[in-house]
Amino acid sequence: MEYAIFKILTGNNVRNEVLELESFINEFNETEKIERIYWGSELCAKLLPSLKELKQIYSILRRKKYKLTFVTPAMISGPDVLRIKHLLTYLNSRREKIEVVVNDLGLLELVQEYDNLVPLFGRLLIRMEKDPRVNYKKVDPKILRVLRSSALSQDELGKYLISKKIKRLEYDNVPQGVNARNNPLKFRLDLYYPYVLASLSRVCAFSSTFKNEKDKYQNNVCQRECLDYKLKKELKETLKMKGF
Amino acid sequence: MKICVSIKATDEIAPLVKAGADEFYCGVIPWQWRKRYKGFFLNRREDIKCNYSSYKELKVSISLARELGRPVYVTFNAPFYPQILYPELEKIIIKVLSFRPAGVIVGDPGLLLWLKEKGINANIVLSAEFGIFNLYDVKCALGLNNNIKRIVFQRYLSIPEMKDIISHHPNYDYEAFVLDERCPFAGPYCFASHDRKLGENMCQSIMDAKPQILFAQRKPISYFNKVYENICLYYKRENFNSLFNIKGIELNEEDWPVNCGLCHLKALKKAGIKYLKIAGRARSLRFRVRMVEIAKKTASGQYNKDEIKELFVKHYRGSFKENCKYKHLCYY
Repeated sequence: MEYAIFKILTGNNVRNEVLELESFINEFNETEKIERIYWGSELCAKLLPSLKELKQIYSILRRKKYKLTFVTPAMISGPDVLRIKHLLTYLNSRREKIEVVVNDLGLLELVQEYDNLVPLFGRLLIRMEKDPRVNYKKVDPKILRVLRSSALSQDELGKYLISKKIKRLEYDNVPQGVNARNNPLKFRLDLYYPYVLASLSRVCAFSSTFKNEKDKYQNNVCQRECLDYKLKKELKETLKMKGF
Repeated sequence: MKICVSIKATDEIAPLVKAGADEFYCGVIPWQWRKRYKGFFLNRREDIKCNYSSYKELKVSISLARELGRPVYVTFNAPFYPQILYPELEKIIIKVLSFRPAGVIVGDPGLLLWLKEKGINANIVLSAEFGIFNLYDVKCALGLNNNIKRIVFQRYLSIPEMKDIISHHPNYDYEAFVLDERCPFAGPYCFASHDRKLGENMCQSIMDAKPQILFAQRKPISYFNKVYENICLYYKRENFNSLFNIKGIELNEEDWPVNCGLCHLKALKKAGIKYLKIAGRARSLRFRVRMVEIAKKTASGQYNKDEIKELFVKHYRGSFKENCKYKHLCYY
């Protein structure tokens, strides 16, 4: 079993982000060895590193002997696809195979154009119930059986993914559990822990902070305000969730 | 531009046609399915009341609509169908297609592939639940099934984004939402329960919960103030109707303002949108009739923004007529 850490941006420069990451890894390494770093963004294209930052990230991680898995987001608009293309072209030009987590079906098509990139089927493409509020102990067993399955138990989809060079699927740590035995095509499975990503929105409250009312909640200018503040909401039910 | 609206009973067809509906969409949850899975998993509207509950009535509705020259599309737009559901799903799809609907609405990549594998040649409308956000998404969808004839855009795609996609794939029809039910979350990436038996709607639970604003570092009070105002406005936009109750009862739909994109019909038409979708399978017939009437009038293209606002005031009572006063209700 391999362990990896997903680095979520805190707004520092790359060098400080890595320092912060290393102090966390040192703590964790007492029990399990971390050899791989997930870097990028699954929620928003605006949080992806610039090409300059990505070069820095790659070079620092390589020097420190960590493997890089580059994470790409869902709901990518046309201009952001172009930005991602630049980043992927750079990664593809390295002299090694680099993993890219794909969270948008269109991006899975795009990654096929790069020989050195190894696509992973991201957790946002694994369509299954991911609702941490539900008391699954009370759910009818027939229904629970379906809730533990995902779209990926479906034969045609599995074959399609193999044709797209997918060998690994990334699962959320869903409270009802995953029926991992129903894996006839023998995909390798990854598990994200502890947070479950239950829902995504394109309406960004954070990037609207300093806009006038007319321009609020439009998918345009963003100053990465989400790195300055977050919203935390406690629900009555058990829920591990950050931000929106 | 054609108006698409939902139906859930045969007697709804005549009034909706009279109001100006050009085509219909609906769901069906037959009793065999209900017995095993309640309302779950067959389409995105898991409330049985929002769907046809018998094949017989669905068949009659499809025939009647056909006589009136109105196509009916049946939704199989659940976000996913695991393999264990397929034996029963196959029976339902075959049965529904024997009634000769105009096509099916599908959002799951797996179901698109399965329909192709089985050689089922039904016309397919690609549901907004598939998630088209860029040109590569379209390339992927069209590669999954070549019977896709129409693409429904996700609620939060901007009109320029739609235009870009349409200009690259002009041989397909396109549909956009114009009225009602603009959930803050994106359908293809919403994995939460939507049935009160499994848990209240996630969007509602999140909106109802009290937020704490957590800062990464110290900021001046003016910054806190700006953030607070922004979050309040976000709540107003996404949770307006649910915040109020009168004498302990939630607002009646007569008093609801609706999410609306009617001012942008000219821009949508120019972008290449041919079909206008009115969401709201849970709404009463009366409510849907009113929405169809106003959409039909504005789709004619004779009215400017101010005239559309006047139309609301002139034709509708209750809070509905004041819709245009509140910018946070605008779709686009």
